Amino acid sequence: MKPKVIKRIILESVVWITSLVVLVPFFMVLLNSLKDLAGANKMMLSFPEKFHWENYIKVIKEGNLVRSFLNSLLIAVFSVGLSVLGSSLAAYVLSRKKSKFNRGMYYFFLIGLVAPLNMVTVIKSMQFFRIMNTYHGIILLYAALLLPFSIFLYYGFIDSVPRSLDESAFMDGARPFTVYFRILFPLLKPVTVTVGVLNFMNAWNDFMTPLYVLNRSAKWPMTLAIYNFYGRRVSEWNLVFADIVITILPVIILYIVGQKYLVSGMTSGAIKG
Amino acid sequence: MNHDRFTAIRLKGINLKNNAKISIIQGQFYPQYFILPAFLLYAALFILPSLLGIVYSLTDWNIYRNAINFIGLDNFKEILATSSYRLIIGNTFFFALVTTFFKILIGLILALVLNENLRTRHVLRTIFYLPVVMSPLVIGLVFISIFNPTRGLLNQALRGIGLDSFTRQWLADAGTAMPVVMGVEIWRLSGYCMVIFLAGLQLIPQNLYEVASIDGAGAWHSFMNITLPFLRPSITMNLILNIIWGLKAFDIIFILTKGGPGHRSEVISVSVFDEYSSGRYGFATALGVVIFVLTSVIAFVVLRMLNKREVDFV
Repeated sequence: MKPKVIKRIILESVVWITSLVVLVPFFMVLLNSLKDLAGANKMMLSFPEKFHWENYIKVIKEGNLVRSFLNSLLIAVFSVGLSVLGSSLAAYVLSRKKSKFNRGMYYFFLIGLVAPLNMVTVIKSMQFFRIMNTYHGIILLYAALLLPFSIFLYYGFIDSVPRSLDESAFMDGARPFTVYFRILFPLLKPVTVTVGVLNFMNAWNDFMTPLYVLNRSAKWPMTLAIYNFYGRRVSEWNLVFADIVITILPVIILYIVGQKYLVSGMTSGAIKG
Repeated sequence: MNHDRFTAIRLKGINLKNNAKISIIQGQFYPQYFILPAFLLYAALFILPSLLGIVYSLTDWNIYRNAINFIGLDNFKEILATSSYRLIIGNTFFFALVTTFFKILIGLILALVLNENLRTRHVLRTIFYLPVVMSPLVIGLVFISIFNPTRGLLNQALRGIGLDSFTRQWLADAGTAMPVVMGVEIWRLSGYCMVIFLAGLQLIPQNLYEVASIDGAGAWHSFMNITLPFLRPSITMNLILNIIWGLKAFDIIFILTKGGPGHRSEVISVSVFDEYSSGRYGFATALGVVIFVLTSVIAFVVLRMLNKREVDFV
């Protein structure tokens, strides 16, 4: 074998060994979620002696997970829909008509990328709008929080879509909404998938926002439900781990399916600097 | 130039279709009201709370009284006069800077290695990026179990290789709580930096390396003179984003230690939640303003510094 090949194989093995730092915690969760209580409380990386699938059924029942799963799904899907619609419409006009006002407006939206949110006064504002502790309240809040990055991504992408496409449609007498929905929006599909995947994950994974703005357990998303379940069942790690697997499964599936779009979204802007 | 184009379109429009010329004015092409839904949402739930934050930070608003009184800068004076809050502000900086440094360092090494022609590099990239897409809450719970003093994986592994004296109550030990929390944050987000660096690496023209090697430049020399300058935009992006995220970090610390023991691993956003839970809303808001100011100032300074350096190099 050539020295170059040997060098590559050594390097590859070293990286694989390093990747165990990432993989071992995941294996630990998966293996122990299938053990009985005594087995899981030993927390070893051993294989389960017997597969205790009933852990999953138990945790779904006792942790009220069906409800929370649907809550998470509802909140994430509607937040994604609203943020995609609002940000693409805004970015379309901001990018196409670069007046002084619109440039200022773009930077105004970008403040949201840097500035942290003051949760206490968010609650005050939500009480004022009478949307505290409601589904539509947290959906509107997420949509607002996800807007800046979504507008940033759409803006850059729309810049690269030739104007001649929408202009020729206007020539034929089409109205702005028709041009936008029939011609432009379909062309934005790659960036829409990126924004959709990113925003879905952000809404699904978030813990702090519902901690502040959803007090009723009936409306809790998965993250709050699992935190609460952990609080009640500290020592039953097999159940907590089963709960974790159920929570991360949708995200992992989405990650594997949408990986290409996710990475392109994460890196846009890094290239331009 | 824009104007010319529109004149041309207008002329064409008149020729093509009569009813089209009405909508050919630029304003009707791209109506301003398309911005309105986003603007209203953002103004109501982001800008309004931020402005209210500044107003309420100057008050004694709390759960026990109905009246809200203006008290000037008293909340900020109290923050600066309390030694635990000085410690917490210091912790916030420390956490943000140390985690940013290591995330960038590890991310860079991973990117350089996974940019090599390894057969399984795509799988490996997927693995190293995996923690980024996980909920910090879930990651926090998993690491609570790993750091469990009696049954946790870490102490078990240490005992297994005979290093019993190294076992600790990792999350409850004043000396290890903060480093452990920072370690988990670094574990979680190094993959993000890696992806940004990988994107930057794709933009380097490969012939530069060939020319350099013909000129007799070693690997280190090529790295310093070709790779690093080309990665500057990626480094800027990683620095800014990670410092901002570091200053705002909440979930991971809240889950792992709640800021303990004795404020050793507490950062401002955790204190905001504590003060909010105990009903001192005005004070919690003032702490929120402190993070806001710190984040804005640091983001601004870092951007200025990096832009200046770039000019110097050119």
